[in-house]
Amino acid sequence: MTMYIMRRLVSTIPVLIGVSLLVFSFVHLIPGDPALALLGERASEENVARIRERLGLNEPLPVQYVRFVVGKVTFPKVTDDMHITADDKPAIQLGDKVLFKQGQKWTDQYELVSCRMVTSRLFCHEGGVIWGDLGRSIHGNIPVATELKRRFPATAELSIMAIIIAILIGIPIGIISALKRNSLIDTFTMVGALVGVSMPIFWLAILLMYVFGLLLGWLPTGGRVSVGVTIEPITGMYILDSLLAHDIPATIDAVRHIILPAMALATIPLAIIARMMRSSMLEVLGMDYVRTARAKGLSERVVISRHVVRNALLPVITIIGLQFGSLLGGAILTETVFSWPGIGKWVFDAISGRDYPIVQSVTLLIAVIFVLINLFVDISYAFLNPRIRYDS
Amino acid sequence: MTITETNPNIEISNRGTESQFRRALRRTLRTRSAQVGLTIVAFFLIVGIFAPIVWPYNARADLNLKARLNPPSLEHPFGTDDLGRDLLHRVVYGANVSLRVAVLVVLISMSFGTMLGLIAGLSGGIVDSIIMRIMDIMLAFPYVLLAIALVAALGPGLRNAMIAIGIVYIPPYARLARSMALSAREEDYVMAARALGAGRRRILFTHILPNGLSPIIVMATLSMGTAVLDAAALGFLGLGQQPPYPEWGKMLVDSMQFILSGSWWVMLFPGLAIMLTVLGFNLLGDGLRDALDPRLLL
Repeated sequence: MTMYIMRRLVSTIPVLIGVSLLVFSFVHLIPGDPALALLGERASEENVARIRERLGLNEPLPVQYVRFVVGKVTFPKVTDDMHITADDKPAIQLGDKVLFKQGQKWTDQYELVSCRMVTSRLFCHEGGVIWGDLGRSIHGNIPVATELKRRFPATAELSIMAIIIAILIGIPIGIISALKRNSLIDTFTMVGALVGVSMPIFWLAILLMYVFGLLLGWLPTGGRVSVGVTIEPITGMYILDSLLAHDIPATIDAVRHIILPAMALATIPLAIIARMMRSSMLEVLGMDYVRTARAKGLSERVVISRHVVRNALLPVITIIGLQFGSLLGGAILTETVFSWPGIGKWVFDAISGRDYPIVQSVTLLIAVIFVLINLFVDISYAFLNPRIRYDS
Repeated sequence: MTITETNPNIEISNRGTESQFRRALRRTLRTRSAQVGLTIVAFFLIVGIFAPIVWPYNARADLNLKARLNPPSLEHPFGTDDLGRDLLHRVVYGANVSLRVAVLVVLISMSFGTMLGLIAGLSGGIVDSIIMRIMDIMLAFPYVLLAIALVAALGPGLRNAMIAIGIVYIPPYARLARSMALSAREEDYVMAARALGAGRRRILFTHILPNGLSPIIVMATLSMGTAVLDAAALGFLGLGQQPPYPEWGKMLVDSMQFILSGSWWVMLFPGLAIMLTVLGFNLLGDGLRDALDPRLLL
């Protein structure tokens, strides 16, 4: 088992390197000047030069890639005469830069260089995605990582809610459809599932907003909480935070806001989970061990719950993992419709503003999460399925 | 189909001579879902192909500010949008755009994917490893996201959107074609052809490809549906067809600001058009899969 996990972990590394290469190459390998592509044909020469400098486009490609991944790393030795006190704050003079202490980190005033004290030396890096430095947005010059940290919990909360809805509704639907195969319920739910996967998610989002938000007025049509409701961020996930603060009215408000976007986002995974659960159940129902279980006189309920459902769930778990990853992609569309202040809405605005560093960073982040979720699914699958464990 | 059902003699007499493909097609058309799917797809194809000829649309001149946001009526069955443009006309013309996207995306992904997969499967070794690792890396991204990142880099527009979706769809074809090539390599008919002195290219095109065509056809049909969805998503994000030309996804994003004032028709019809088209491809794909390749149950 340990061997299997180790092997699986090691095999993830080349994929992660490849993912970073691919994201990098979007900007740098396409024909023409990326700076022009970012700014449009009518950009002034001055702006193009500024962007070229910012993106480091004047360096050779391999250097640019290494800069993108690890940044510019230095280990300056700290001597006593480098310690200074600037504006009553402990600071270090490093070349022409003054570094201030921020928590455990030392950074300059623009947060371009970030250092940590390691014994008597500083470990400094300028940029580098592996240190969590995702560059700066073109508009507003905001550190992408900081904004991402602020917005990610909103998307995570929405995606988790959506996958919970999809699992709670999709699995029972799949089980019932399989047990009542070819009945009216089966036909109805499977046609429903097919319609579900055929529906553009943003259209469903608009429909839900129109019907439940505007026509019936049952639920709010956008945002995470109502005006006037404040939730102290702990995890950044409002439902959890308000629960932790025992603020029940705020929890109810947050839940009311999340229902419609989560329902819209849940539709496709729900349909896929239901279809998969049904076909997996049908396959298991035909197995010899199910017949054996029935033959030894177990009640139908025990056979279904202990033998059929449990085994049928295995392939569904893989699908749930994969779907969870694609939810992050679908979130871009849902968040846009419901003005949900997560990373999806942010990417949408970044695309309209041609702010490529944001698009690049979010793409990279989601792909890395996607790879890690797959890794987690594979490993949990090995725990659940002894055959994989023993094969390795 | 009715002939074969009512007159079994004809079916028997035909069985020996008709090709495997025609038999499969007949089997496909017997399922209800494939019939419905084919009807929808055929309708959409006819509308998409003939709309620009029968009912030409001049996007630049189409403007009638006196008839802004009119609800559906006899004159405008789908109503009008904020610029007074007839929505029926725009939805119909949008079928042409979506049809082009579906066909082109599948052509790009199917041809490149199949070729790459066959090359990987037949060459083996380092070529195989390199090609398949690249495919793995592409699969590490959610489809929509990879397409968004690509178009954002290439620049918005229908052509780039089609290229991006086409590229994003390559890996599944490559995987399928590779496994096809790997299993075919050991088949007797391929060994026999090789023993007879047939070259690699001949084996590939006359033996392996025709025998593995069914799963590729199924995948192509299903991916036409998802291509329409993804193209609409890119249009929705402003990365697809640029205004004033009608595209269903773009029409939906433009409709959002008028929903508050109760103009539901602006968002209803383009969305319905997307859903029906995709549903048609999915139904047809499911039917084809059941008839052509029962192994592909997912």
